[in-house]
Amino acid sequence: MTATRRTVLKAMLAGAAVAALPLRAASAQGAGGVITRPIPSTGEAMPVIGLGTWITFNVGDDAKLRDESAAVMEAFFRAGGRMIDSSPMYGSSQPVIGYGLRKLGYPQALFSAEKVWISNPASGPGQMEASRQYWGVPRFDLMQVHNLLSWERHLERLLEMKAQGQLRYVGITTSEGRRHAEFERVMASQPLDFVQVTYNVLDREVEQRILPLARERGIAVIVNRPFRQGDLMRAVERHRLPAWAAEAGAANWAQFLLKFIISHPAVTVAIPATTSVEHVRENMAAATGLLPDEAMRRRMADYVRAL
Amino acid sequence: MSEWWTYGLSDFLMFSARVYYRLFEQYNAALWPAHGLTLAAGLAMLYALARRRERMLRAGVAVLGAMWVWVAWGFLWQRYAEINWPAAYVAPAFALQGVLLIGFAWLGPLSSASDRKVETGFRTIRCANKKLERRFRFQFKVRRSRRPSATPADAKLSRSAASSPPGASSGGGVTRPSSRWHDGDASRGWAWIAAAGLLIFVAALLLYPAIAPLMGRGWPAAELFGLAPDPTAIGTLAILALAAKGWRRWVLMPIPLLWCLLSTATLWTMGAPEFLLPALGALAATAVALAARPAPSPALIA
Repeated sequence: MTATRRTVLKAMLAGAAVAALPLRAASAQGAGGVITRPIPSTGEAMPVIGLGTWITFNVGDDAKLRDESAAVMEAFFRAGGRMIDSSPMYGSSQPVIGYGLRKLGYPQALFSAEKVWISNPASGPGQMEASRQYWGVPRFDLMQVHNLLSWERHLERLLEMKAQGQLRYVGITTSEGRRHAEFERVMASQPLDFVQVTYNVLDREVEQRILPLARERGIAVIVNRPFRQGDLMRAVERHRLPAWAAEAGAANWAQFLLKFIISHPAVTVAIPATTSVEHVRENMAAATGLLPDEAMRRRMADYVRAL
Repeated sequence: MSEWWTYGLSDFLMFSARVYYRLFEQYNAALWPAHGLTLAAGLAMLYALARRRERMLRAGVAVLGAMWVWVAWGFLWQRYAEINWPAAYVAPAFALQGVLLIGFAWLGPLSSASDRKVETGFRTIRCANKKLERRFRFQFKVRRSRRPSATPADAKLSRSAASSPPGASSGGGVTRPSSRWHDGDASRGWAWIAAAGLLIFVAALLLYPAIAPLMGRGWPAAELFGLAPDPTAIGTLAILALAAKGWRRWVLMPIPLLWCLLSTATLWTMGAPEFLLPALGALAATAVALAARPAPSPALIA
């Protein structure tokens, strides 16, 4: 889970590419041909597709569904994935992740991304410790302040924990375009490693200020709700995939939508959530092959908007 | 919650329909064969309600209270809160409803000091009314003629007696309840109201469990009266609409009503085709409760 010499070198090469071609993504290829992006603050390589757990991993004590979640995690790691993201807000998702990790023997590739989500800052450390025990990991790689809730005190604590080596990265999150003005202020004033925002082919507000600011400040970007919680997929699946989608490297609608997101140069990783092994394979395949250029991205967005 | 206007119902739904329905499968499997007991208890309540067996229904309401306490702990707290943490905040409300039902069933009609005060107040009003009535009748006689009866006041009284529920008292005393809803001087309207209330209870007891198999989820996912929150709330509302009286009805009905609305919102957000049923049950029971005002006297509960 630490940055290797190889990954850092790749990140440096990728950084040089960014300087030369500012509109192209600083991508590299990791294990299995998976496209990776460097985390700006360290250069650590991150596969561009991660795994979200909102709703999909909230299966309670249901043994059958827990095993299905573990199978999704196994397929995700086998395809070269690293980042799994969760929150105390997601019901039973945390213990279900812990169940899956135990079953899979805690894969080395895991990049654990969690959130602190509680109004009372004094309760933050206790909540983070409970989350850690659910996951069964020695420490989290990334801890984010969920939806900017009591962010001042939480962030102060997270930065202390990072300095003490109890965390590797610190971030903040929002979703569906909420509190973007305040989000920008935090990005501009705090030493963040990550931000997490909603971005997809239809919800593109972050392209205006947040994504450019992330590049300027060297902050990694996690993209949530890439399929609008499934609504976007359901809407586009009624239509045929355009023949030119192959030029964007997309073999199906999931890849079409994901490649649009991960081809933005400021995006580090998108985190689609799924309960299906087949779907996680499809999603991970979006992290391989071609990525659309700027002209193609415009064409993709225009096409979906016109559907 | 800042920017609250940007949130929709879907932002609060944190589980899938599949997980929700499997929750009932697992719950039922863990409780089998308790379903027979709750069904038998429900049928006994139905009999007591239809035949107006006061003591039996009051015992039934105490059992219903115990069912609410069970649903609070066994379903909401232990299981539903696993996938939907706000359910942990709803569970105490269910427990409170259970305690209230048991308490009211235990206290019985006109047993509390406040009730006696209320009853005394009603008697005073009735006495004053009778005095006014006599005075008015006298004045009427003087002005119009010597016709001894069929005054407008009499006609009004006679209409009100005809529309009174079975067992209702037109005077200040407490009468015995009729053995049936359509006995005595009960109007046809009252029989319909009673039938509607009983039908809602039958729907909660016998039809609601059939929704799961009708929707293709099979009997293992059935939601049963006394074990699952929706049919328990709807059945409770039906009982209260018919058998509870006065202010206690409005103390006992809000929690089941609110639950039905919350459940409809949840099912709608889940995309469940049956999403309207809890709200319809609540609406129908409220209509029966409003139509049944003033409640049958003496009421079976409170």
